[in-house]
Amino acid sequence: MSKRQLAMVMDLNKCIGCQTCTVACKTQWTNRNGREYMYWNNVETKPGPGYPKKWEDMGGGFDSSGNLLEGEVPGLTKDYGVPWDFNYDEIASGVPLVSTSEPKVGPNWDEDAGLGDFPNSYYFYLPRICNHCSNPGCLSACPRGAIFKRDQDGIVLVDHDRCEGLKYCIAGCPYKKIYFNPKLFKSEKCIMCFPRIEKGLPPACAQQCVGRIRFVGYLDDLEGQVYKLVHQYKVALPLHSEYGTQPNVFYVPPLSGPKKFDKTGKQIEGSDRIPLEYLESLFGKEVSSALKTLEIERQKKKEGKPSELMDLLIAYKHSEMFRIKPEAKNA
Amino acid sequence: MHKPSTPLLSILSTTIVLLSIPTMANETFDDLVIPSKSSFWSIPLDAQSTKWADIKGKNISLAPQMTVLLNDKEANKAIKSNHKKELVVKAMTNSKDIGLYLEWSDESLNQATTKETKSFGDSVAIEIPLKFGKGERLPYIGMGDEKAYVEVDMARSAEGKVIKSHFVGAGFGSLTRRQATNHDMSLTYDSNKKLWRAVIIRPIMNEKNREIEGLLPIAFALWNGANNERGGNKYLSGWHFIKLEKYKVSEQYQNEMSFGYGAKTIGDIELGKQIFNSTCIGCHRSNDMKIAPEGLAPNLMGIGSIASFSYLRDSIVDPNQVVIRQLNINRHYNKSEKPDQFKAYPNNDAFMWYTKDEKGNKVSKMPSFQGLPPESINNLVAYLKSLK
Repeated sequence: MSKRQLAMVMDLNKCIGCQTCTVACKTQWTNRNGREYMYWNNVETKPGPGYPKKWEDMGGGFDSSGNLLEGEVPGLTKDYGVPWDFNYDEIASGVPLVSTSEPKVGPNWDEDAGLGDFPNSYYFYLPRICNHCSNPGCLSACPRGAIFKRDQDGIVLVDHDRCEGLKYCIAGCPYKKIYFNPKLFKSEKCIMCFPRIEKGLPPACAQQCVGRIRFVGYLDDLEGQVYKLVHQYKVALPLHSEYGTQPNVFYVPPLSGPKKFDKTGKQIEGSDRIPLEYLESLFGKEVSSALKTLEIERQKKKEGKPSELMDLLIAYKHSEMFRIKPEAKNA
Repeated sequence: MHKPSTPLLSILSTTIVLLSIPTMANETFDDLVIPSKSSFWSIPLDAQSTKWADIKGKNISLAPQMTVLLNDKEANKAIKSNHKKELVVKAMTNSKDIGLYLEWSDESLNQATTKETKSFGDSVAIEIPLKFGKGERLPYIGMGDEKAYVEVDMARSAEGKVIKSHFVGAGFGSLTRRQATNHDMSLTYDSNKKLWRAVIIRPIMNEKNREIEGLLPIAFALWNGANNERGGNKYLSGWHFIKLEKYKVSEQYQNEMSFGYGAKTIGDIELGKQIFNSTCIGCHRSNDMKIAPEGLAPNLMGIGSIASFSYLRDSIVDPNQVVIRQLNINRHYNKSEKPDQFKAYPNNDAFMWYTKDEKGNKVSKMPSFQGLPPESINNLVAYLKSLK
């Protein structure tokens, strides 16, 4: 519906869960005025309940015919977690550092927990921002038409002059990536750092990413990494495409890592530490062909043969990961 | 297949038949009229004032909003289709203002708080047409329509304060805030009696009205925060009329507004139901027919609780006169169409309630049923009015 679409690709094989993206976003946008609890960017451990807790069970999005589905509004106390502080003022007098309230749940509560038993346990990190969907659930749910998608880049924004804080958008977003600001009584969300985009700069989360996992560019820029990873090599996949919102953040799925061990401590040939079914439940049936492509291309690189895909994913030059300005080739 | 009826069963079935006889014949225009008391003095904002205690209240019934279904799972689960809420209304006027005292029971005090994202404040609102009087039809009950605007005054309970809002509206989702320095309201919860009391004071005359006909149209809405109610998830009344004591009631206006009320019967409910079930159920849902996809057209469940006889007649005879604003045209997209290069599917036009002509005027998708014999139209109106 927008003329162009800005998109992000995140390579999960490179994410180390350092939360630098989270902090970059928090200090840029959400450390004040009722946004303290919000993480427009968060990194959660998968498998795991994520943030807000069990967001995947909260409904929203569209049914297979394209009709908006009901959803829930997460609670600050129960699902996001109330931000807590520490007794910094007291520690000088010898009191141990403790939290000033009893934390019950938080944005990174289940970090590194994962699933499975030692030595066959597994987990990986899943950084999440707003998907700036092509058919956004939040936009469709707003009874006031207060949410819009920018024509020039498809960024989804909330018009605070029209927002009345009714929270139907929050029920409508299946990713729970739009938040209610209880102080301002308005909904707020990841804005893809549009003031930075307008200056040709990548979003703060992508700029600061230590692992260089985030590529940013337009989906119709045939020369860009985003286009190549999503459409040419088909190794970057949308998260929960079955939610029906056509998300525009794409993930390179994690390769399985070391093989599983049997009871005698020997590695089991051909075993997958991360079950394929689990990856398929997140990224769809295309996971196996994406992983296969990655393995083949990685092997090429190991053998000293050229691989454009691996070169792209390695991202030798930070500056080349972002193509914010180029015009569409086919637009 | 049928067992012979026992006497008990036949008594039961007789009782059911008796109970299902429409109560409509008893609904008179007087039921919609709220008396008012005129005063020389200022109208008290304090609901506990003895001035309010001296006025006898009128009980008004509010029904859940079901015309459009919103998308909050918990709020939707709490909708009880046949449940009604009682609101006690008292009215007082002085030379320039009208004051409404509103009282309703609520088991729990719910306030919007800055400490919780999932808190919903108990709220109350009144709706008054921006323009009313002889020859002016009433606006659509759901926040007005594009040909007949409404003014809304709303009080919402929040932690440590009452949020007072004033809006103008022309249909679902269109409410727009504006300044109203000469409007005021109070909202207090009585935790002993478990009830809310609100007082809303505003000028009798609004900017578009130059003449007072003795009857001021008004409708009411309540939100229970305990059930996630806010916005479209609410209880509402149909149009009522405050009888302004110091003004003469215009006979013409009363005749226009009271169409259908007080008549022994306007039509045959059963015959109306037959027409409805053979003609309307492809698009509209009713209390017992839910074949049409939700959202394809306004859901008519409980429509008789909120729509007047004249509105129902107008919408059958000339749907273009009462085109309702769509809640959000993006709620349904068309999966059988080709998506664009970014996989965005176009909206599903089947769920649009209107099209636009060359001049940009909205044209209702519902055809006019003006061609039906007058008694069939009356039967249909009688049936729809019986849906409560």
